[in-house]
Amino acid sequence: MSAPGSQEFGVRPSLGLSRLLSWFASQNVLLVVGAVIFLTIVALALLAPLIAPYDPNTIDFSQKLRAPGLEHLLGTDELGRDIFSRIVYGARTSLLIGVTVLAFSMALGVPIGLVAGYFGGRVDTVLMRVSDVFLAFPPLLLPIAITAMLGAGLFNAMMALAISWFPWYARIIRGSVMGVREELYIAAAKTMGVSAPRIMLRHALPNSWTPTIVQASMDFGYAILAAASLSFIGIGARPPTIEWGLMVAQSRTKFLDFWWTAACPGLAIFLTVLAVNLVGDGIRDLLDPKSRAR
Amino acid sequence: MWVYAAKRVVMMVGIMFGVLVVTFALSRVLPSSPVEIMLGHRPTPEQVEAAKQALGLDRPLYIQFVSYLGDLLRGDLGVSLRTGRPVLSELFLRMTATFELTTLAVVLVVLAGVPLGVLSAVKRNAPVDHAVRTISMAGVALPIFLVGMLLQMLFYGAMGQALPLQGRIGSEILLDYPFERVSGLYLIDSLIAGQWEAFVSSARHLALPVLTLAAASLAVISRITRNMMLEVLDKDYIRTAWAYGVARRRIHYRYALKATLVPMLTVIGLTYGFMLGGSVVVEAVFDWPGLGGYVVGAISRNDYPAVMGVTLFLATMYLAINLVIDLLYHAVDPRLRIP
Amino acid sequence: MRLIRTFCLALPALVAAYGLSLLAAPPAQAKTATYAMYGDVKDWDPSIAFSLEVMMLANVYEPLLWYNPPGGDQQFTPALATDWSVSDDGLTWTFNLRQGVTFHDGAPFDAAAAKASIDRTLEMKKGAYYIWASVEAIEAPDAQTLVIRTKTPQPIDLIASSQYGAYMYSPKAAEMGTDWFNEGNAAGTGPYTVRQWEQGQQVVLEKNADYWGGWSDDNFDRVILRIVTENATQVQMLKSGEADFISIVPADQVEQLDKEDGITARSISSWKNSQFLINVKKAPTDNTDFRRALVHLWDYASVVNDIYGGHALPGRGPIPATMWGHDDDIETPEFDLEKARALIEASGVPEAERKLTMAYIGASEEYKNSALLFQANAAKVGVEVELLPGEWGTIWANAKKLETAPNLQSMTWWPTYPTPNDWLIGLFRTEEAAFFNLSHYSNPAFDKVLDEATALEGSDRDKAIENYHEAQRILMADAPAIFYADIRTRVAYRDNIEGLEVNPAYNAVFFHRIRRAE
Repeated sequence: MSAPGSQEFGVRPSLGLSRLLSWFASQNVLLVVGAVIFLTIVALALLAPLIAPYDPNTIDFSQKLRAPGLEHLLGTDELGRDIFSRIVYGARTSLLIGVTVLAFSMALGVPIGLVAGYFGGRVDTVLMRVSDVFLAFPPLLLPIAITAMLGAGLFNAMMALAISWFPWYARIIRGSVMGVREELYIAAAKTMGVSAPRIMLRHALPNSWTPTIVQASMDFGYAILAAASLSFIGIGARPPTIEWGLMVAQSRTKFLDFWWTAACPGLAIFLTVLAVNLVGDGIRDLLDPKSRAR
Repeated sequence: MWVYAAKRVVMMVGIMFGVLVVTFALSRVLPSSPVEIMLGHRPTPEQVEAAKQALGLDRPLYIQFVSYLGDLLRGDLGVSLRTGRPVLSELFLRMTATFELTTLAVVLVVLAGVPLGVLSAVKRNAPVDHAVRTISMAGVALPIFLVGMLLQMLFYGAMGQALPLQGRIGSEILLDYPFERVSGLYLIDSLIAGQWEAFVSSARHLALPVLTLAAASLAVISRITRNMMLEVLDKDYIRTAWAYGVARRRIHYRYALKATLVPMLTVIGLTYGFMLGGSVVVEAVFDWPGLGGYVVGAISRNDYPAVMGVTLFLATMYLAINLVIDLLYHAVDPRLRIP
Repeated sequence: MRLIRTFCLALPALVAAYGLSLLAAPPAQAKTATYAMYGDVKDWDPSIAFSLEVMMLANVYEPLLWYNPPGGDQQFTPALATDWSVSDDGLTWTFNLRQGVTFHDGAPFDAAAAKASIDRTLEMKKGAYYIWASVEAIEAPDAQTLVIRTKTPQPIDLIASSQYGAYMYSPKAAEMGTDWFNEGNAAGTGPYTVRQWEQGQQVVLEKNADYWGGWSDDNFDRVILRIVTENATQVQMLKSGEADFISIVPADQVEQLDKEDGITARSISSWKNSQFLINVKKAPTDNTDFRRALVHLWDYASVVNDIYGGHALPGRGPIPATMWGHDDDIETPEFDLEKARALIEASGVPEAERKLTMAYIGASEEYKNSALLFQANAAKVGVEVELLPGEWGTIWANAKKLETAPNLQSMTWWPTYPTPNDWLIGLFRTEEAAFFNLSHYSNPAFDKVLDEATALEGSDRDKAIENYHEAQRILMADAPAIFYADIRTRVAYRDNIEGLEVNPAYNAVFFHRIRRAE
């Protein structure tokens, strides 16, 4: 199922690029730092095969558990695999997690919100109650239950996270659609025979991009953290997938003596989520000045 | 007010039913028969057959659902595949452990997070504000399991076992200074029984898990408090009071803070929910014998009645907390008479 | 403002006070041993228990005989039976029982109680009941004599020393049934009684002052079996001295732990072995040459040295070299890529079909790493291996049915009581519906040799061994599995513990026989 228009993703065209940049620069240093870190991570992920000095999966027992040094920037793990390379490839996994979870969440939530907002009445009530059911589970619990039943694995974990988060997007879309609907009936009364749904899509969806993007920018970081937690307790990513949370889990029996096996992937998670949150804050301030923290 | 409450309860029941359907559907989507797990490492073919029949997994789905509902109404959450004991009794045992942990964490978060947020808002853009904001940004980005591991490294490893590594209470303490379980909360029960050593031991064992669980939420709460305070401080009536020369402290605490207390309730509800989820990870790291540890153990053994039981239970608790908060909110704020 | 300032000052003061008050932790008692178990006791009923309960069972209950570690001159140590004999036809065993022994609940131990214990195990049909499957009747002609009659000749002495399903317990307890046991109660004859069971946290055993074996001053009065599910935590507790023994020792940690002050970590011989069963009914592994090629693709030395940290020996056939009846002429196959390549060509399997699936328990580091290594080596000769980790329940269910079974299936096996046929029957004998024979191997010639050996075990041990040797040779030729490692059990404990005995027959520590040097 593809939601019409959900592939559109960007800043409103009226804001010129130069205005954007100068606004950016005038903001807090933190924001710029966050953006730089985030872009670095994206670059690492995209250029992984070029940047990683070793193949992240090569097993070499002679290099077991080496401390960080010249040969291995961040040391090696218990199979002799280079940790820096694994972190670089892990960046791909983490970014993929963020994008996939959000994409599926929206793919589920946007159509539901559209339908609920447009039709209103009973359809709305039913759809909203159904999404309330998914909101009734404490965070992480539903993903745990879903992956427990469907089996561990990164894909199942991502689907599970998406299923537990779609209600937020459904609500946002529904809110804006309902807001527009009132005006629509007035307009429709005047213009006869115009397809109402098409007008809805053209006016309601763009209206709701702002709160959606704000929500998404917060959820990106949460998605990465949640997936890492699931991998940590053993029901998310499984070997041979390279995922930072999984790397920390595997280091648990050794990290007291070989601190880098836990510290490096842990730091990677921290920096990525921090950067994403900083950028998210910036996007929110840009698009919704009222909620700006002064 | 009562009409509103009644409406909300009815809605909650409806949602509960939905939760039931979802958990039931999940448990029947198993890719394999759970029987293989429950019988241990060397069952005989006859034992496997007998177990399959005893579980009634060969009946059609809708019959299974109906019988499941019937059981639920009688308070029977099924029997754990691994231990053969009723899930409900196992839940009760572990529920108090999780409750002790999460409640203390929530209290800590509120006691520490709110003043920090207020301080940050009041001294907006001062170094204090920046410090608090930076720490809270960092706190939100740290994975819970990493915080737990770091605390273990610090307080057990580096500081020579200043605080215990795992468990709820020292093994020997449990033997030599016994106390009756009245509430299930070791801190309270040991005090009631007058066992000071047991109290101290429980407190020591609670320290690290509570800190870990509180860490991430602390950041969030202080941030939210700060934002809410800022919004309120900007309001016209506050500015008017300021212009009239009302003392600063009075403005901050009597007017501004009070106004944030009500929306704060919702945030506390959300925090409690977040902690119920986060406790799964914390309990795994610290071997805390609570619901989280129970769920993780049950998952690795495909013990679907146990997983379903815990999920249902936690969802119900979460819904109940939200209901209570919603009603409190409604009762406290007269402006919120939503029809 | 003042409020906040006061609060900020008070907070560190509170923390300091908290910290100081907690420094007073009571000292541990010298006569208490602590063992970190990886899970809670699931079944308390001695007739049913079949898992880590043995740690508790072996200290609270006793069987008729204890099996001695290999290498001694006596095969058994008398426990509740003082001597025994078997009739010439091998069908009747007579045990003389120890006098003057009482159960923890006061009931006397006699032949009637022994008979009741075994009868009940057979009736309940749970746990390891099948070891008694050949028993026709049990009689107690007098209080001191137990007679066991079997349908076919069986090594009842071996069976009676099994670590599961062979314990003697009080008939009064038996009457109260499994539910009574599962509340944490026990009624055996052993040196320890169960003092406390805090579910999910610990099991505490306490000295049974009336134990017939007697006590000396430096025995342990109390044993705490603490439940610690995380291996990392177990290791930390051992280092700090909070735990005297731990149950999970990862292979690559043994050397480091041993180097630490106060800790001894080593591996001891066991009867456990690991293999990857090869599905003989599914392409391309239905081809014998192809299977033989896979056997040469396994890097036995690296797996044993690097993945198992040297705490395993390369496998030499279907049963471990430490078990009686092992054919010592069998050698570990060579890890030889060229040989493998040649065999693959000879097999005639087309290139496009050289793809395999390999399933294993995802939680096991050793399986995972071995599989990864195998995958890499297989790729070098053009064989593509797809890894399928999962949990045991799912994997097993899939492997049993040919439609969903993988080509390679991980399996770690150990016997319920010491006999070669435990492996040979359990894993390779023809099964109508596959249960543990996940190779789906069926060879009537093999079955015949095996059945003969089993029948002779009780009466003509040497002839039985001959047959077992032949059975092993047949398996090596047919290659239904990659027998890759004889596992050594890794143990780690505080080095001031003395008297610890190595016995592969029991996965338990006998606390009555050890003490702590001061």
